Amino acid sequence: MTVNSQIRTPLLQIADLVTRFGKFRALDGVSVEVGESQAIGLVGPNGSGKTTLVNTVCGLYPSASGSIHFAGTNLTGKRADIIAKAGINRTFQISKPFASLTVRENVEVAAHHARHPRDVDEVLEQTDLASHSRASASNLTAAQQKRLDLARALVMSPRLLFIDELAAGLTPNELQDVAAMLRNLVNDGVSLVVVEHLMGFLEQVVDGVYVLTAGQVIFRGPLRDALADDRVQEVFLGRNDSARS
Amino acid sequence: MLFEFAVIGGILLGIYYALFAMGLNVVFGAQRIINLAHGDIVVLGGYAAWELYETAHVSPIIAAVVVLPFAIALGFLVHRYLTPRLTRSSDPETLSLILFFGLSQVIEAAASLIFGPNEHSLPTSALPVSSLHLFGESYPGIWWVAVLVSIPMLAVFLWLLYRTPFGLRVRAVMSSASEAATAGIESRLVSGLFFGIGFGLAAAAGTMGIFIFGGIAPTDGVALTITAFAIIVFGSLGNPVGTVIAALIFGVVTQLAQVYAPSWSNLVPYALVILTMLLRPQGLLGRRQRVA
Repeated sequence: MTVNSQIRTPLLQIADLVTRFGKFRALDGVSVEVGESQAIGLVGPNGSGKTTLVNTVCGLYPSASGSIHFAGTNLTGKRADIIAKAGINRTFQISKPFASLTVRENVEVAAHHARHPRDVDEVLEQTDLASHSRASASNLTAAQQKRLDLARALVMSPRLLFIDELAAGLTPNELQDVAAMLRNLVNDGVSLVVVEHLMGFLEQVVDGVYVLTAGQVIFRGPLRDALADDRVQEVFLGRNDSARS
Repeated sequence: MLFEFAVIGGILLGIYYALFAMGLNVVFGAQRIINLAHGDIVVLGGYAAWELYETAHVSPIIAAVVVLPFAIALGFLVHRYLTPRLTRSSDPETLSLILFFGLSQVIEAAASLIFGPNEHSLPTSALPVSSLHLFGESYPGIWWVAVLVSIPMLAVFLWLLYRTPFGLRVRAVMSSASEAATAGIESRLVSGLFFGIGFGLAAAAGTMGIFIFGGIAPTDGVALTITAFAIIVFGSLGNPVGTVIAALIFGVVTQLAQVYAPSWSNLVPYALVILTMLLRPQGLLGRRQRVA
């Protein structure tokens, strides 16, 4: 079974996407599909193009070619704010909260621009930030800043949410809580694309994975199949046929 | 009595300097670049006041308001058409210095062609008061007029920045334009408007500057930029409240220097920059990481 075969209704369709930095093709013909209420993982070694893919879909990097369709609308080349309002939201690998704003203001400013904003207090409760709502965002711990990133995305009522390494630095208990929260989002109808290195965490959250290396998708399918795939093992472990035999 | 005169005069001028330097800080906040043409925009404001008074006897107080929308539009256009290439380059800070130095030279050359190389000034009769007394000392009328113009403009600016949804967006963009965009904020439009407001404040300050600086000439821009730069560095780059506090201190120190050591007073801006860099590089209200 593949990731694609699980898709009931395609929500996000990325086709042959190419992103260049000068002559370097950071994404080299990437195609990804995400269905309604589906969670997929983006896996790959550092520099494989995972965050570049997120940044390109979210409008922060221009694509050189290829297309991005979301809910039947062509979003290729659209501005980041238009894409956010269309229902694609994200967290950042290195969270950069609006440092001069309070925690509450950080969430409010995103709510102002959402087509269907959620209640700010409810989102602060959900992300366990309610008790810090009046604090300056710059005074939060790194883990709290990541939750603030998530709160800012959630308040916009996303249909598709990119989660970029949210689990990094969390304790095992916190990982369990975050995984449960993400699964609840999927159950509520939100589609997820989770960029993550922690396979145990991914296993609890996603329905399938895409494995990227050197800007290309080399595998799509269930996570356990990915872990048994020769090409994936070679990418992650540097293993080759002669070594295995 | 000299001391009291210097301190009160310094506070009056400091309030004006806050308006004068705020525009430079606003442009820095909007785009993270130093507008080396800031002083030239102040000069343009001065010429606008001169032209309005000479041709239509428009009060410099009214001129301060009249120039605002034009200067905001000019700043918005500069932001829209000159800065996008900077943000796409690998070294936007260095290129912005070159770009805005070039803009400064263009404005200076244009002012020379239109108004001539000589200094322009306006008579104090253009002001509603020639002087006012406080605690037995007489202070030039322009100092009071400048305060009368500067306080409402600064108050409206700070209200806009800290008490309105637009200000919330501006502060978000100042923190991180890319994250602001992914929160649905049209970062380029917001930073363009804020950039324009920076030009507007500079031009409004210029309508008073033609009196405070004893006249204006096309070549005054560079020195005015340095003075504004010293104030915003002292107060913390990107921190509007820091600019107000720094301007007040700068005003008082400059006046004390002019009263007790007039030949040294021109060194105050330069000494301020050097001392700030040596003792507190992040400025008065700055943290290790610069914030809006």
